[in-house]
Amino acid sequence: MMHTIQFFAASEAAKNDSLFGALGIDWRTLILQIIAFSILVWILGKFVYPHLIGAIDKREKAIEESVAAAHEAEAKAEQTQKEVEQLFKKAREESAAIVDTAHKEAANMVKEAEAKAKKRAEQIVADARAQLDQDILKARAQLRDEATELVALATEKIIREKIDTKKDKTLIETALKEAR
Amino acid sequence: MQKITRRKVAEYVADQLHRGVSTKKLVDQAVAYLKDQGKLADWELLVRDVEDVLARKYHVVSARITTARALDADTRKALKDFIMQTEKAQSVTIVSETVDADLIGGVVVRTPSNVFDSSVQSKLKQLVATTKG
Repeated sequence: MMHTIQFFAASEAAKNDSLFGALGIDWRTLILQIIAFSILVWILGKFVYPHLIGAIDKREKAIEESVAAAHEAEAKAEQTQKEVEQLFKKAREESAAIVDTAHKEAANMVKEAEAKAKKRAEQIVADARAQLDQDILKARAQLRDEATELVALATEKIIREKIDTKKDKTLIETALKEAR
Repeated sequence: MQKITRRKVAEYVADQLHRGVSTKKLVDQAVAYLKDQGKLADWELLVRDVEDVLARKYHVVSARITTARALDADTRKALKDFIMQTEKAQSVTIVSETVDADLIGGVVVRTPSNVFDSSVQSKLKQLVATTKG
């Protein structure tokens, strides 16, 4: 149809030699072209562009939705990252606290053990001193007893030599007198 | 034979001795009694009981003397007088005189109710005991 219209326009244009002809424009062809263009535009506008624009809009919407989803995912990932960092931070703090507590408890235990050991050592020393004092007293008493025994033995020996029959008789008489 | 206590036998023997009954006869009776009772080992105890009865009932005191050296007559008399005075006895019989050099000096007099020890040995022992505390 277009070819028929163009052919008719071309044949008619050859007949026009006015202003349009000076410019090289054939008003009949122009009108036909305008009509054809309008028809084209109308057809496109009616049947093509809505679908095209619809598809473009749809695609644009999809793209926007994807972008929004991506943004949302990014935000979520960022949030999650923050949460994870927060958790890590908390875990680090807690572990640091645990380690610190463990160190303190270990230091306390060491301190307590030292104090206990010191006390025990002091007790041992005190007990040893007391035992030593007791042993010394015992030894002194033993020494005194042994010395007494020796003195008694020596005295006995001397007296035995000194006492004769006469002295013994005197001894007996004196004892009897004193006992009366 | 009926069971008689040692005390009763001792009293009997003491009474008989005081009456002047033969010592040999009394000894035989006592030995027979002890043998019958199966208590020959207790003869020393019987003798002590007899001495005790004699001292208590008849004021006849028997004494055992131990000295470091043999007694002379004077010392013996002095001892007898001492025993008579302290035991309030009417008569004193020195049953035994023992010489024990370990006494060193002095005398130990043993009667049924008392022991008088003035030996040097006991004095030394006392001194040692006092010093030892």
